[in-house]
Amino acid sequence: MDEFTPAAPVADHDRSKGGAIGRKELRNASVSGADLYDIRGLEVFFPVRQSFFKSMVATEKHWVRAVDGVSFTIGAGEILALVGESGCGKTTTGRTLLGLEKQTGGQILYKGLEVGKFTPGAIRDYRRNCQIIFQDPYNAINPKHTIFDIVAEPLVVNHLVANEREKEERVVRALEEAGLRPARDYLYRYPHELSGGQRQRVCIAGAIVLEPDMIVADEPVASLDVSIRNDILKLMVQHKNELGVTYLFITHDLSLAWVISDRIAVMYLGKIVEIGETEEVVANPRHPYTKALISVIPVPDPTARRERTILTGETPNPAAIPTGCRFHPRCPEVMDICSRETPTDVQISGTHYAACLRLNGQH
Amino acid sequence: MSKGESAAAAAAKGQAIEHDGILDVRDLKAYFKLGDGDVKAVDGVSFMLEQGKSLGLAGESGCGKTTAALAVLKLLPENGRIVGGEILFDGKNLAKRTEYGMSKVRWKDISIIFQGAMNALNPVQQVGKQIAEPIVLHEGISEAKAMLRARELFDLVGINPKRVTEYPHEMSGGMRQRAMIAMALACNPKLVIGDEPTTALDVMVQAQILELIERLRHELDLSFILISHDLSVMAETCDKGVIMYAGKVVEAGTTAQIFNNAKHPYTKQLIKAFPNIHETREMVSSIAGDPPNLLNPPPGCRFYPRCSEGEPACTQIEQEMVELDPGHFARCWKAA
Amino acid sequence: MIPRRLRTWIFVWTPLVWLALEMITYPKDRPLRTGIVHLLAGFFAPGVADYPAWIPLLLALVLGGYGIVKLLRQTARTAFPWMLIAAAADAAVWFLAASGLFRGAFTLSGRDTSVAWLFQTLLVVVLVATVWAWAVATPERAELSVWNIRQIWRLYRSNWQGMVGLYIMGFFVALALFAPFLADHALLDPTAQIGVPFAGPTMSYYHWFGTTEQGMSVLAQFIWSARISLTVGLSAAAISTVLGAGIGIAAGYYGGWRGEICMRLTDCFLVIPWLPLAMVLAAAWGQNYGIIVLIIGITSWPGTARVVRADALRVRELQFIERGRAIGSSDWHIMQKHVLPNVFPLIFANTILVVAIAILAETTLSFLGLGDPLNFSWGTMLHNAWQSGAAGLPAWWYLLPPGIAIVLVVLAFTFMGTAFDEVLDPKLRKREESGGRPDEGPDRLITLGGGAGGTEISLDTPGGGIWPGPANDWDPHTGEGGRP
Repeated sequence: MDEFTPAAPVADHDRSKGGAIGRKELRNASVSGADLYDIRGLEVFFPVRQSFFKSMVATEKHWVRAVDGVSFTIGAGEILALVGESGCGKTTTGRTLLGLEKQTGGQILYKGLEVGKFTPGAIRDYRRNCQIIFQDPYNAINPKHTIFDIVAEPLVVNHLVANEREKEERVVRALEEAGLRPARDYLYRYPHELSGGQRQRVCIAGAIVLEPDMIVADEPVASLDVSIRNDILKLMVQHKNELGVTYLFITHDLSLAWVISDRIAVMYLGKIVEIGETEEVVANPRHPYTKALISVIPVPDPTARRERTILTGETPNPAAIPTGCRFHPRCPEVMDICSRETPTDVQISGTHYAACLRLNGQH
Repeated sequence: MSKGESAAAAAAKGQAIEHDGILDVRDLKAYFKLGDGDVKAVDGVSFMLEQGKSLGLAGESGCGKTTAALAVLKLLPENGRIVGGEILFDGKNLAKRTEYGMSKVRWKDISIIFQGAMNALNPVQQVGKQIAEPIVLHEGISEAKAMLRARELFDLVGINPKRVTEYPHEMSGGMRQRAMIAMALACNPKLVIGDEPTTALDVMVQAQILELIERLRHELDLSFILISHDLSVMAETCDKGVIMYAGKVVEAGTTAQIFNNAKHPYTKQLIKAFPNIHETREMVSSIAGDPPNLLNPPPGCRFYPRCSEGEPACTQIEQEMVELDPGHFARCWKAA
Repeated sequence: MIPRRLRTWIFVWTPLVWLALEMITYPKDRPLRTGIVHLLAGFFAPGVADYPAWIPLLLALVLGGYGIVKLLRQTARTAFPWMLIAAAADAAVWFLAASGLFRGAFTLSGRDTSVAWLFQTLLVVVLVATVWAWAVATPERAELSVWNIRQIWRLYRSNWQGMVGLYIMGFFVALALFAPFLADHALLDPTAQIGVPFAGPTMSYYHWFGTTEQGMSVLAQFIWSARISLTVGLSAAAISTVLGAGIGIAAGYYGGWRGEICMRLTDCFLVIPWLPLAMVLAAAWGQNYGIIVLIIGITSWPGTARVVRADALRVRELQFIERGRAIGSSDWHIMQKHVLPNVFPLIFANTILVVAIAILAETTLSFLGLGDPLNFSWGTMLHNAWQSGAAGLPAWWYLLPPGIAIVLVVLAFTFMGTAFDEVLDPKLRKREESGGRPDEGPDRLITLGGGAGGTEISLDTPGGGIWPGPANDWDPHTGEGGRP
């Protein structure tokens, strides 16, 4: 899959040195051209575990291509939604940005610097700027720690506070920014005393306390009640507007992504099939998968009549990806050529791109 | 049952005493024993379902919808019990039945797809055998015949019949849910209760499963109760709807009535919490506060602390179901 | 300010701890039953070798302690580890002095030097000052700890097994501590005969359990044996737990080659036959209880390690471990702060059972003759009884007391172990009377139901398992699942 034209030039020193990037360069880097992240051709493959005999006999390794050549940019201070069903690689992409998964190919450029070339010291600093919120607030925090300990841990581990008073101040501030007020009431409680929504706010406070540039939110509201869900979503928008935090919102629920995100990227089986401004993509979807997804999303209106494109079958196993366009076995608009050729990005308008062979030659 | 409710129920049926609904729940009360007190999980719930129709039971966590469903089948946990009310299934009152009597009803007349059922399959037994098990138990036929029936059921729910010999881990989540539906249909029940059947599934798989349920409903003339926290799903698949809050029904009617003309403040706010991707984009709303403690529910209207239209008088009057349109009820004196 | 309850606890427990320390090292040659009087008299004795200048010295220490506390109020956080180190150093000195190692011979039955009491007083004062300083620096945490402990005690108290175990254990611990007052140490001397060999029990105090094959008092031996049996059991269990938990957590947390090395190491020690090893070491290094402690320690830790590793494997998959990595924690930090606290209930319950096993093991080894012939443990008593043909007589008064004592002690620890299993889960604790708001979240409905032996309510609750992740999941490492 062809990469998008990069919006920001790659920093000069990266080309000349070709070597490791240290902490000083990271500190001095600034966001040029309003792009915080520039991901080019990212590949994350996992080896398929084989039995002992097979691994002795087999000549080549099989790979699960979880993320297979994904390119996009994330601007500073925006909410980009990564939408797709299970197995599409959206979670893996988000986690790779943080370094929780190892990238096997492609480039991740953070403020113009290539993350793969960071020294261990630079990686530590980088990790502070990019945080994650997990889906299940019941498992994401240690049940034996108090809320104070949980939110203070990032500060302690990174030696960011000099004394107890400063630590407490920052923790209280983070808790209040996450909507838990009065914060002092929560400091010495245990997670099991809080409700699900409150716990998720604690997780958010734990991410906000480091004052990161970007937060990867991996299905942050999937485990929560509907009425609490919206509070968390509003919190994310608030952080974007007031604190300038960039959010990478990973979700399988396109309608939630539609509500709060600025741009949306739809993924299928390890590739981005459509990307663009949210309203544009939802109003004018061009990829058959996007069209099908939008058509089946239920809405709270029993009288709504629309054509529902329910795809047959389920997402294939990422270890056995179809040839050509990977969506062609299920595509309602499939053509002959789709099983042979891989589609490339076609620009629909402005920043709206879709990868479908039907769109070649038309806009 | 209060006067208003019995009148409402009678009016809903269009007749004085008889009913043609397959399931008629009247003023059901199910409590859990907790320490010294009772958690009033279901506190006076009434609804009616006609043959071949689908009813959606919607509400947030803790509102009692799962408990109500379990109470119908008398599958409450040890410290739960039915305290009052009637559950009329085909004219018979299930609330008064013994365990032995219920064992005749379960799965043969009413079956249930539990929450997270796809994860409740025995991982070390073939799926086909697990489907055949209730058939053998209820109908007393041989296992071989039951396996044949399992294949038929697989075909019915859209799985390749050859896959009866597979194990649960070899099937995807959607497949397993279909297998659970097959299991629920094993003994040809008249009524199927689905407790959050699509909650953990992707949206496309969810659409497939809902379409399957619709098709089965028409093919087999099934009645279906769908329990869900997702109002959008309920809107699109059910004929009638019941919105529950804190153990009580707050609004009931056809889905068209509920969504186009919601009367109870909770319903109105809850609907706004679900995004409609085909309308103009706006932030979804939320409902501040938490549901009340069901050990000691507050007097009067249980939604009052979170209600935007409430006034202090709401706490003094026990709210009753008020009929606003034919078949459309709301538990709010301001709605009328 | 320091929580009131904590203050009460400190005032109550400090003298008790000091008393226990004193009892452990009480000089064995003090005359029986004049000991208490002597103890009190010592308060006023002017002699240097006995209890010299008690009062002024104690006063000086108290004032010093108060000074320390005042000082630490300013810099409590940073001083806290130093205080612990000071306490540990002092404890080491006390132990060395009390056990007589300064004089060359290790013995737990009393001290020759009277200076040891100075160190134990200092130790107690330093510990109290440490706890006080900590509580003053972070009163909320002190409050929380007090509340936690009370909840644990409340839950434990409601468990009948635990209470029975505690009573039995309490009885034997008291027996061990107060041994100098209950039986004259001189009666353990091989020449101290009180009667005819193998005489049956009579009403006279030292004849309650009759006499041994040499005419010595069985009761005296029985009482003093409690010390050895319990101490050896506890020390061996301590070694076993520290080693086992440490290696188990490392093995479970680190996958790959590091974990494999740990497990192979564990396997190596697992196959060591402890009995032949004990015999060999006894022959090489002489017979004493130190060898026994060592042997039991190094041959029982693999069991703990395996159990802890299994639990660490489970904890490793929990998402907060991943969060720890995402925020930049080192492996050591994660193992210490995340894995260990979550594995701790298992370790604790396991330790209690290991104590029981260690006591049994010590009994076995002593019974086979590997114990110190000059000291007595219950196993040694049984050994002597067996060797001298007590079973044939039958001298039941000689065989039954140690046997029953072993059974009761092991039973007590087993009961306590199973009780702690249930108790050490923070979700079972209710917040009723603490200063916080009453909890109204739906979660409370689940926690209230799950008390000791109660049934849990499966109500609709947020996140209580009703929204598992998208089920069309596939394992990226095996490529399984997710198939149509």
